[in-house]
Amino acid sequence: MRTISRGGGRNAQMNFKKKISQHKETIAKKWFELIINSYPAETARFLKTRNDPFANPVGMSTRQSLEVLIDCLTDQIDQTGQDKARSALDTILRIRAIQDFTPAQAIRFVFDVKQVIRQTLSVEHSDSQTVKEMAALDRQVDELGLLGFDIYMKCREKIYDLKANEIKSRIYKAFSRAGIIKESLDDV
Amino acid sequence: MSDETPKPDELFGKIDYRTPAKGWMDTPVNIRKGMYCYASNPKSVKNLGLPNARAWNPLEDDWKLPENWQQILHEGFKERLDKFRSIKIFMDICVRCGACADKCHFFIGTGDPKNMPVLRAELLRSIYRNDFTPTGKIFGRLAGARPMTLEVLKEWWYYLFQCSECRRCSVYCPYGIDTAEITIFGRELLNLIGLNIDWIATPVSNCYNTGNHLGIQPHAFKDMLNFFVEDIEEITGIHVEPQYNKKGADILFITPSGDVFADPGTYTCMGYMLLFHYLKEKYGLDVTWSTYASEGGNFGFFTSHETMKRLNAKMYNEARRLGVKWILGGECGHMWRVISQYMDTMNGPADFLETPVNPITGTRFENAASTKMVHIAEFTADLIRHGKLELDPGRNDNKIISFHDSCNPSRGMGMFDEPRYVIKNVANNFYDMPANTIREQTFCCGSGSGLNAGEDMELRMAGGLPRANAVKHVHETYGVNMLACVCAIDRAALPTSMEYWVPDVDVTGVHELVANALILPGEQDRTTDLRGEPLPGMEDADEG
Repeated sequence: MRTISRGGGRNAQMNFKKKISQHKETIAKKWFELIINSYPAETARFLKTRNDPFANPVGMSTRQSLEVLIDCLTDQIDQTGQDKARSALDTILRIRAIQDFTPAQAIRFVFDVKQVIRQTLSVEHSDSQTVKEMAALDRQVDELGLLGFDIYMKCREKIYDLKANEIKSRIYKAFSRAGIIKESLDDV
Repeated sequence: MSDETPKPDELFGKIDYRTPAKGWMDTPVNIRKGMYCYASNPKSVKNLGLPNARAWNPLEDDWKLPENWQQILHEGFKERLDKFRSIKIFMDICVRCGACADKCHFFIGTGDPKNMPVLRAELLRSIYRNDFTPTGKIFGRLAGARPMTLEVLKEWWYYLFQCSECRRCSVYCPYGIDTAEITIFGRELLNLIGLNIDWIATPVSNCYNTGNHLGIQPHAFKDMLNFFVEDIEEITGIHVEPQYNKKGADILFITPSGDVFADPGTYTCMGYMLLFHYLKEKYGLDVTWSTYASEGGNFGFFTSHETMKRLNAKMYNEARRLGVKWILGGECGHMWRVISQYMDTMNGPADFLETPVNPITGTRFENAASTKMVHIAEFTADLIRHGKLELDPGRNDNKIISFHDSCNPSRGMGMFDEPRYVIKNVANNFYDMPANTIREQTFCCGSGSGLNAGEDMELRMAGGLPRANAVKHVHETYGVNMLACVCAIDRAALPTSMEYWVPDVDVTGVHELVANALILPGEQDRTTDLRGEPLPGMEDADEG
């Protein structure tokens, strides 16, 4: 009995993830709407409707990255998958880290996908196995969120580094090469 | 094709009937750290004789304004409407079609609707309607008018210093409204009551006193170039001898001081020095540098017309003092908009100079017949076209290059092909970025018009996003690892932008590439480029 039950679970998991993949377009669209609506209405309209990646880099790269993240939720969790997730999150968060968002507002979108999937697949009205699978997926999304925090902080730290080091690397390097600064920067 | 045509219900489905929760006039300004530059140092403002020099902080409620600041702005507005017909037209003519709205790099990057060029201009137009039009006076808000208040003033200051005056939006305006001129006009008004930023005011003050933005005195300027002489000798075995303040030289060379004092512009500067040496040895070209007109940039342009005129005059006065025939200008951005679009009616025509003729090729630069000033990319392209330079483009083979059209040389003077022609002749690997991000549609580096400070890094990174996004594309598609440009602000701003957005791409001036490829008579076997990095195939060369 146990063997059958385990097999059934794996099948259910496969089916659940397959279902997500089948509804990927709808999920991506709803998720995209949510993230885009974090911008002022006039901006959201532009981000949603302009399809040229060079005229609308924020909208288009966000859309593409969300699709990748959905794949990451349904694909096997291995190193390649993690790298893909990291890169997709980086694309979105590198932008949001410099925009007018608090850290929570910047990362919030990751967790929104839970509701999007629940609504799209009517998870609450499904069998208990699906509910269980959804709970497992929730944890996966949480992991993505935590990864998002790391990436967001790295971006912020980079901004502070740039603020601190720009003048030094630009002017001081030239001056020190010219011997105007007597003490070598390397010795400081 | 027919399948791709959207159905009516699809189109209707896309219509968003919601009005914004709050109109833009009711959305208060939120002055956010990282998005503005520090207020100007009162010493610099005083030195320039500009009004209301005092220490103030944009984050504090009290901006220490003159008591009658509203009256000063109103009268300043009125005076300029009479003086500049263009401003009067720009205030009246906009039909708010929205063609410019999504073309601004600051709007694209920040997502803040008040960075739509139309809305940024509307900040001023709303006051114009209120103060100067009958409909605005009678109908008020219904006619898009509102009175000048402290809140509005703060909004002006915040957003007029979130425009880099790049004029990309103007390319798309069916009426040709020059939104940069609206910003220039707005900043000029703000200066009447002492609202400037230090990244502009102090360079202007320095330039006014010592001839360049950094306030470097003549002897230090010469010292710096002499250090480059040593570096050049080490790399090429050639001893170059730049001429300084030489009376009676044929040509006066003026470049932004960033090329002399800041990496990676310094390598571009070494590039100029090598080129001039080559041309002197081979053809007897007589070029002089000036330690007084030691700045091509003109941050006065970001302050007021009068201040721009004062700084620009120094270059021409120095040309007159030295008795040169014409002026050759280095790789600079806004200098070229000042020269091409304002100089002639401001300090020109420069009748005491000659229409520039390249003494080596005989080419007469008719485009500079009145300003008497030629861009070095035009000059070098002409030399290459006539086969006057011996070049080994293979020395740049480890560089996969793209070209960033700087806003002002492209949109301000129409120079698109000369730098590309030069690059393609001195290097073998060149790939352009997508069409809607180059030439007249080029995206700003995000730090132009005096916004290249450290404290507004978030603003700069947001503004630099559309450019960096296109660089990322050519980096991923063609392996581009070097972004060439012809502007000192680009050379200062883009490395930082690249470090944040596309870390594997470096930045170079065009004449650094030229000098790498230039085969100098009597040079030693070169193993490194001007940065001291190995030339292709020389990676294992003995460093000693």
